[in-house]
Amino acid sequence: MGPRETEAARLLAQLFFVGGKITTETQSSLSQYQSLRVLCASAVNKAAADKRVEDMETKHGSFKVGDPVAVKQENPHGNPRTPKYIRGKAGVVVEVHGVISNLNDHRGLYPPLYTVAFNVKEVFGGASPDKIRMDLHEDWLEPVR
Amino acid sequence: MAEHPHQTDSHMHDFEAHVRAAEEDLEYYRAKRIEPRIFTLLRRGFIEFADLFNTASASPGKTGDSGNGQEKDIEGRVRALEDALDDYVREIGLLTSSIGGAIDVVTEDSRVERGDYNEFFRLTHRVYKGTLDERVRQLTEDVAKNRRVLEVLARALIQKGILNENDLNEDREAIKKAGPWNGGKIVARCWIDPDFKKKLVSEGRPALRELGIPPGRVGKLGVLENTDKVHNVIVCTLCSCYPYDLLGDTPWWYKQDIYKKRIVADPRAILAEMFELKLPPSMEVRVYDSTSDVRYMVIPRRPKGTDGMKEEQLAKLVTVDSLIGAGEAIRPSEVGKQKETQWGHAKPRPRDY
Repeated sequence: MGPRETEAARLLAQLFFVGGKITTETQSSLSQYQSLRVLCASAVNKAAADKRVEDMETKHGSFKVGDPVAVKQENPHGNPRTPKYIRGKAGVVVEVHGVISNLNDHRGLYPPLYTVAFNVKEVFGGASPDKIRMDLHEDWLEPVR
Repeated sequence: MAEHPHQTDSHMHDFEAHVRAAEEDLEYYRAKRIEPRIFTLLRRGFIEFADLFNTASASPGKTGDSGNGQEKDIEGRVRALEDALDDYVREIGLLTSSIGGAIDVVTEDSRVERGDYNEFFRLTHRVYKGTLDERVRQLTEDVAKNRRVLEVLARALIQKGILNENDLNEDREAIKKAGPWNGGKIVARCWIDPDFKKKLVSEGRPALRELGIPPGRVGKLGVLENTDKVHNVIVCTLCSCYPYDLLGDTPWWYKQDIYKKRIVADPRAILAEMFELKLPPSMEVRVYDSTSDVRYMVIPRRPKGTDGMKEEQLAKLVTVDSLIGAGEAIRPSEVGKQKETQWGHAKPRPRDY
């Protein structure tokens, strides 16, 4: 290892083993090591995400299997993963997935994920006896009383 | 085209369906998977147009005339086109994941960039016209041109120090291993080993290690078992999420708006109409509209008359369509001669595994 790699390794070790803080300085010093860029980026992401998973799991998780829920029309937090056709519709939680870390897919974490069951005929009208099961994040759901 | 152990010599029946599938796939991968990613690179200053031009003029093309053979009959030319398209699709998978690892860009950025949430950003798709022959010739030319774009892009990114040539070559080999034959192995094991099935349903990806399949890392794996009472079918109406790192790329129709719109609105009718899959009224149909966080696969019902069959033989009964729930597993007598309909099996790529 050359001096640059040694310095990068030191920073990585600090992140992983000493629980160093992810500051913008750490990030930019890590990212200048081009040959280790991939490793650095994923290390930074992972360390930050682990922390966020913990935080979110304690903060969220309001629904359980069997709960009736409704999908909101709008989501103030900007999570785009809810198709328009299901907004405003009511369903029942059939599975609780919790917070899923998926860092190649999107930055940071979305709130806990639920599978919610809907009746096709209540969503689209018609006489279909079939069901839609959709995975929805908690920030899109509200309880139905 | 990579050879793999399950390849068979079945014949094409419906050239129109194959050519249409190739048109839709080429345009999907060009306009949704790679060109938006190039825009991201340009937008954020990792490369400039001039870099691509300079690289192109400094390096003569490698991929140019594959599938050009005028001596081949129509089936031969369509096969050559599909093989070239397979290489194009695989190379896009390789480049996008490598770029994703090298710079701070995630799939969600691409969904925005390519217009999944806002039609304003969508790139226009080319429409192919003319006779079947003319369309095949044009497509063959276009695939070659677009493979050249990938070649130039990769070279430019290597020169910029963003990608590493050795890593790319290694990953290119690894990527060939993912494919629907993994789905065949998984399903066959589930059919003969209920404990494995239980473990797979509850644990997801980690359970795959005992089959020697790398578990991959694109979200959590959801496993839906089709039974005599419940038929599951999957879709991703916002984009086209699927456990592709495990099961290979989806069939062409999975990414089409017409499938996405109709399968949720009347699943049972659409399965019958598009895929000739008629389900009894007593069976509950569930269509799973997924996010990118849980990627689903379906375990089809085990066909009748397969008692005592070996695991490797059972795996060959599992089609790409059946892993999505748009078809059943086939009967042993149908291996190698699956029916091609306008939708199901229209593009049996990777070819008839």
